[in-house]
Amino acid sequence: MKKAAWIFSFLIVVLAGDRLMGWYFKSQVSGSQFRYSKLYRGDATADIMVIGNSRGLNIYLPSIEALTSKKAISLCYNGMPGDLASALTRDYVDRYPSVKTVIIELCMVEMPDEQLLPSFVSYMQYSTRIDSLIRSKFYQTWFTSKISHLYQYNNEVFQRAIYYKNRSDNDWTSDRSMSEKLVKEVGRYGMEFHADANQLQHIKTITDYCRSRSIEVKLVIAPFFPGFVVKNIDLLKSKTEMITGCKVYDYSTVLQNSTSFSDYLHMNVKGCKEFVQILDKDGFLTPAENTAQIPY
Amino acid sequence: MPKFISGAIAVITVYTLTNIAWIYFRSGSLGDSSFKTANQLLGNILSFEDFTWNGVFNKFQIIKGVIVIAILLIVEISNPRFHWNQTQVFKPVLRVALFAGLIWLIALFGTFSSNSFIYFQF
Repeated sequence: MKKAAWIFSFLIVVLAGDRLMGWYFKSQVSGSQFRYSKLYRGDATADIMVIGNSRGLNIYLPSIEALTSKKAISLCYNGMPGDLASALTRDYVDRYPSVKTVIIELCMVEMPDEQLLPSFVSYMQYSTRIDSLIRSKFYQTWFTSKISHLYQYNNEVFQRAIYYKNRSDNDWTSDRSMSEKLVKEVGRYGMEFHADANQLQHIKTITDYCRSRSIEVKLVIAPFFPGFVVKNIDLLKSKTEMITGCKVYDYSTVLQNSTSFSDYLHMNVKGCKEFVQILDKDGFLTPAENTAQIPY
Repeated sequence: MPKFISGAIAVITVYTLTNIAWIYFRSGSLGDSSFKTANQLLGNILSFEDFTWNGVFNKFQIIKGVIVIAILLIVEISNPRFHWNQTQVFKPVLRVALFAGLIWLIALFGTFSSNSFIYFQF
């Protein structure tokens, strides 16, 4: 009897502690300046929204805001897969219907990290879309997070939310240059695009959803390091344009200075600023006068 | 030589050699180019190129690792004084608290993904 009482007490302590710490972490996440906390807190109103993977982070928000005087927000994350991007974008559009333009960095089609989704378990309670995505693809994670609230915070996304608790994540971009050795070795590296139909379908879901709400969608391919070989980039462009009916703006070779990059795939802050200046000069950041005229 | 210095040298030596051995051990799965790849990796490490905090890709994994190792070290260092293993047997309240703490730590820091290379979890 006494043993049973101890076991019962133990379970109560474990559960109470789990819920108490879970509640504390939840309050920390919801009060954070991290992009997804702002999104679900109702604090992410913007004219321009950017979605993509780490290359999408190169569409540098401080420069956009300085050049266009428009408010911009990024929902990009390293390795962002299409299904998650679709859920986040639709959540954003539902909550902030006044957004004028959604920019999609298209390379997320080619480099999705399918293991990223469980990390968004910290935001599952705010989004039925994320909840059902995790439930369908990572049932064990979904189920465990229902039992243990602490487990919802065992991931990198939560750690980033804490890191950005009291600081802006607007300039989340690497600020380093490549070594001479890596610059010289560029010919040894490259990648091949495959234009995965499943990932492209998620892009179509995003574009259709936005355009049905008269929100302009722009698809862009951000610059790669000069000399870094990307095979089948035209395949990605043509397939995307065929499936979505949207023009793809290819800026993959627009920057030719090696000092503008932090690695073969990403620009540094200098490169990001140059890239956004080019986008602005090209009118890319200026919303169409009448979104109803955007061709399907 | 003071004992703590020789002890520290021994720890660092064993740790470094173990890490080097793991590079060769892990590269074994790369077939014929195993040794070449391992040597290249070691060469890159020893060149200290891009050896900055900004150059670290998985910062959060590293922070998590440091926290977990710090917890292990705190338990290890405090054990001679508090004798956790014996003390918890005679103090049920402490036992409940320690076990609950362990479960919370596992929930918050545990590695659950089945596809992780097993030696990365140690």
